Amino acid sequence: MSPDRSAHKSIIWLLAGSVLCIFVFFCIPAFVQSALSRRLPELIQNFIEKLYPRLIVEKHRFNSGFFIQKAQQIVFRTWLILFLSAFSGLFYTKNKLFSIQVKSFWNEPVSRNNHNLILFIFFSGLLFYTTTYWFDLPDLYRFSAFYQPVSFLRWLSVPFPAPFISRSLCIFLYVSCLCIILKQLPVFFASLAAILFILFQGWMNSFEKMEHTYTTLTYAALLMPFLANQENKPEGWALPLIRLSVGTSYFFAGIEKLSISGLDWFRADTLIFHLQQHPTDSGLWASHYPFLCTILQISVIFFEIGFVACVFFPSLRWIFLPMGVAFHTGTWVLMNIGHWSSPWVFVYLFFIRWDKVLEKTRIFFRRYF
Amino acid sequence: MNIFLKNTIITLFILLLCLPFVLLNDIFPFSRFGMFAEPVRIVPKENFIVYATDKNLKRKVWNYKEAAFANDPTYLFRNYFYRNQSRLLLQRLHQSQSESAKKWELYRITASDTTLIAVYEP
Repeated sequence: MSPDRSAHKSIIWLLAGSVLCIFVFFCIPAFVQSALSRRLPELIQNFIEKLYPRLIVEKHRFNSGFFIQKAQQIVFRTWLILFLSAFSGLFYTKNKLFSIQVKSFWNEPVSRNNHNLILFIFFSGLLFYTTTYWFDLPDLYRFSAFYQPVSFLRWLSVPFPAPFISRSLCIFLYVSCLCIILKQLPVFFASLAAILFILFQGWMNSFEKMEHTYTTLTYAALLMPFLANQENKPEGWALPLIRLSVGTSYFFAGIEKLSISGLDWFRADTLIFHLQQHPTDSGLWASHYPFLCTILQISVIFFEIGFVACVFFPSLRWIFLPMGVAFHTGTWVLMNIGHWSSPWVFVYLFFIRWDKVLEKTRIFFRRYF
Repeated sequence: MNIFLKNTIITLFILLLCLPFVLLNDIFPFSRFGMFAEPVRIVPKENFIVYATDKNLKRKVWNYKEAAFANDPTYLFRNYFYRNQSRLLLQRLHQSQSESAKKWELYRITASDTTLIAVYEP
């Protein structure tokens, strides 16, 4: 297809999508009222309740305005993604420099040393983070009456594992990680480790609450088999995709705050409220200083929205990676959320050129020792 | 790996990353990061407490850490309460305990009052 034809197609799709989004946007209040009072056709009503199981709980807690705003957000975000896809598609076809940059981004040169070190560090970390599963899953088994499987566990009717099963699977996971660390069949064992890790994550998150502690680690685990497969290739796309998944996670977290709360989110009461909801000595101390809270909130948004830039511009990593460490440590110290060894910080390993670190360390030791 | 497969995996993965953001919902293993996004004024303050009375008629607050439950279960108590399943919640808590209590009580605490929601006596 010629670039001009492709550009015209993008514009037509964007216009058609925009008109549809505007139409749906204005139909939402009536639709939401009908959904809340269960007046929609059963099929649609069931679909909504399957997609949003929390609706049954939240409709008792919030008024209809809350749900109308949420539904309008969905339409707006759909339009936003449509717009961004069409715009970037258009830019890609029209701007040669941009298309070259995109291609070189997805064909990053693979350094074998860096690649091996990343695999070694990631699977050592995975081993470290999953050791608690040995105890956690058998402990949770006693609460299996509360088990409500998420996504694929529900679709495949997977029950909560008995202690013997979960411990056997733990052994498989640990052996897989060790095999990759020892460079034995890395693609096979990276796939096995990813499947088991996601299975464990699914079980741990199947008690009506999704924990985001391991989200970026999960994204990386999903892509690790592809990264392991790129060892002997000159160029690779898995590493940029892992970085992009980490960057977009922060980006969406920042955009969520602004799109749901608007500029109100910057009011000091926001952080003060959360500090009081998750009390720690240092958090309660900070809550007495509204100006400090506002500064922290501005820094959080700057960090979350800006982090994705360091995916594309490596020199910015010197700013955003230390900020990320400070952000997660701050959340832990002020609100007791997370841990000193946050998996969110651990995945920064994908932003570091380990072969260069190793080389510089060697030079340092040779020079001074 | 051929170009088509590579492009398909990249496009699909990016779409799946965006999907929870668009639908405002977690679609495991892809997550929506809405924590702390709501304005504080619209969050109603309420808390739930479960009391367990043992065989010696000693009544104490059920502690999730002692019971080795993974998270603070207030969200679970809230969900069962709004689904009108509070008694079922207490029954399930009773089943999950090795040292069974004689009586279970669920209380809801709001800014204005404390209400006994459900009692379960096995």
